[in-house]
Amino acid sequence: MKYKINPDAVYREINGVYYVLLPRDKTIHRFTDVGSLIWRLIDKNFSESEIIKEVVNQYDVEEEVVLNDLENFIKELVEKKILLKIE
Amino acid sequence: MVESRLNEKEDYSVWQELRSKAKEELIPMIITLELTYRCNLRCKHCYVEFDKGGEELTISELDGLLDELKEMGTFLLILTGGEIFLREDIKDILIMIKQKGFAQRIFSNGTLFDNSWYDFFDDLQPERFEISMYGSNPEVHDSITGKAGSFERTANAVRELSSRGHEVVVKTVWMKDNYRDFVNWMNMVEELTEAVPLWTSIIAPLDNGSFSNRKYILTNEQIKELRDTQLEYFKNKYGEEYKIDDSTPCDIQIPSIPCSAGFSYAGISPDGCVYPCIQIRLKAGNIREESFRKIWNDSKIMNFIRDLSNNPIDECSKCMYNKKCMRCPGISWLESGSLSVANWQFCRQVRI
Repeated sequence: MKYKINPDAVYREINGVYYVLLPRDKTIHRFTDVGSLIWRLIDKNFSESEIIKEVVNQYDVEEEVVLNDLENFIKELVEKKILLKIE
Repeated sequence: MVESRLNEKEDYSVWQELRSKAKEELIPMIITLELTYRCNLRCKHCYVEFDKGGEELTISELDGLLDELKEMGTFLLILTGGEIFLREDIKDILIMIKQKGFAQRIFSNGTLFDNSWYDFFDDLQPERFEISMYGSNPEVHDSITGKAGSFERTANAVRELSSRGHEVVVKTVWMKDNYRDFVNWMNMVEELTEAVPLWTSIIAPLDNGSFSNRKYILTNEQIKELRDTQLEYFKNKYGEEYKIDDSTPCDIQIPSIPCSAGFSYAGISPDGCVYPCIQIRLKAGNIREESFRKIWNDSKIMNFIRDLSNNPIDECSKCMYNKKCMRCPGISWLESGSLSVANWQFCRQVRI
């Protein structure tokens, strides 16, 4: 299963932090530093393995930890309709 | 990894944080784009000089501007006129704005919408619509807009958009011709849409400095009458607890520019002139002559406005009502030619 950024989502980066607005739902979200890094990579169409590699490089953490975090992050983004599933 | 804010109150705090960061970093987060001064209505109090000259920016010019705004961090575009749906290329402009990843807020009188437009808006998903209705019936509304049938068309637009799940904020200006319609207007709005309505009793002078619309401004007695009606209405609706905030003396410095004009907000006219705000008609430059970035960063006008933020207004700073005053420096500018003075319409409103 793959994902794409909700075409309604409006997002901007200010000082390394991403803010994402969903006009339809009237919700606005702020990502943490790591979340912002991952979002930047998702926006650049990086694959899951490339994202993990990048985060491991930048934050000096175990690959397994990143994989687990990434899965949770993606799940949350899907729940909040920031990412949409592509079957 | 993700901090989300899903309930309304917390949403607001993230939005406020974003606005505050934008102001601090001088990011033009919100831009009002006036796309045309043409209008099919002739609202008697309107500040726009209808059909005034100047060639409207083409879609190609807008394309370049939008790329620049996105790079600079603009989040929200407020699209206004005139009536923007008179532009033949408006559909293409709205699609382009969406594709480039901006939130868009649409100001319109709604009179030109038909079913094909409503289907289009369902796909477009603007952040919200703001539509003015000056009365609860055609007699009041149409006499202000100068166009027979405008009430029906506007009311239909509000009803249809709302029924399709769009947020539609109905707005009005209370003036001599309509202030006694307050209760009926509130009831009408409640029936048409769920969104909380907006209103003002302030009438802005025309962009050219003329104050020919001054004659529609409420007298002191009419302001009092309207306020009493509003208090009664809210008391009936929300119970005895409802009351207007009674101000206490507040020892704070009120700056000449209390808002985001020139800090995180700017206005751009149909022919490309850049202003700190659409009410502060001090031309900072024109995007046909230089880039928006250069105007935003380097123009004397933008920097003059920013410097004014350190310049408190003594009269306002000492005023016991300054906590609840919504003074607009643009209205002061249009009326008196100074951004650093109190304005009688606001002073009167908070004191009555």
